[in-house]
Amino acid sequence: MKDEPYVSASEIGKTAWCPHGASLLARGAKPDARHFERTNRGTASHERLTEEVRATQGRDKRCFVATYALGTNHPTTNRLRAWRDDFLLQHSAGRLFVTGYYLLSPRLIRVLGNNRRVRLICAWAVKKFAHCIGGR
Amino acid sequence: MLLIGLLILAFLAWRWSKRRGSPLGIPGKLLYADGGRRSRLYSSKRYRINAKPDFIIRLPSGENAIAEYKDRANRVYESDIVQVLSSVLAVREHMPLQRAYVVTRNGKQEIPLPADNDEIYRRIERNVTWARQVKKKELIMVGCRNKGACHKCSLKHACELKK
Repeated sequence: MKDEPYVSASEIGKTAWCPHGASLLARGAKPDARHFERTNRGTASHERLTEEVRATQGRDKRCFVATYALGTNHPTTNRLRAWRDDFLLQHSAGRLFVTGYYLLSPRLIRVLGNNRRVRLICAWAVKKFAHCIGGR
Repeated sequence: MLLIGLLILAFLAWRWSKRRGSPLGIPGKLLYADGGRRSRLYSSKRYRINAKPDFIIRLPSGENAIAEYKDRANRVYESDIVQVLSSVLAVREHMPLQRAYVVTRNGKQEIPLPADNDEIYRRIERNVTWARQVKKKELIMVGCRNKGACHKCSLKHACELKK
């Protein structure tokens, strides 16, 4: 099996629905417009449910520096939370980083204080960082 | 006063139930949710299968459960079961998984999970082989099991099985 290509679970699922259809798609057949409508509807529904599940079943609301600079529900703050949950917390090095960050950042916020200029500089830095990791 | 107190209690109970309830119908702590491109990809080296399951949840019993969401009412198809079993093989190389669910808009179905991964693989082996053939752009001349679905298939115009 070592020389075989990797296949994804959704690709395997598609062949269980219609092997011929899956192979036609892979060979470049164009599905009709209903396919894209269904796909978009499904994606939107998935995203809504994922947000609901995260909100009710364990999404950690903490994100100290971004919250300090931009506010709790700013899109960039949410983007950074998603990055933490979906990327950092999935690896041991990432989990270590997050633990360290949660130890240090509340102290850092206290040091930075309530100065408007410092807050603006932090907001700029946080946005730049979010942009680097693919956020807004 | 008593009525106001009862109303406040009812409101607090409602808020608590909203907070505690699971939109999936599977209570527990969320361990993983597929958030798109940047989400972790689980990979099985042994079976050469990748997966980004929709949700992995630690149940109150301490068991881990995988859940695949399908945006349709009620019905669970064989393809959903095959997809969730493939995901189980990919995830089990990284964490133990004891339960699997396919969740639809108004219900969920538990898929029995054998403890032995080889047993799961044997069940989906034919589909894995087809998926590999698809990856190599081979044309598979096996159609949909559910013939009733062909009339609304988005690839009906390109289907070579009709010819």
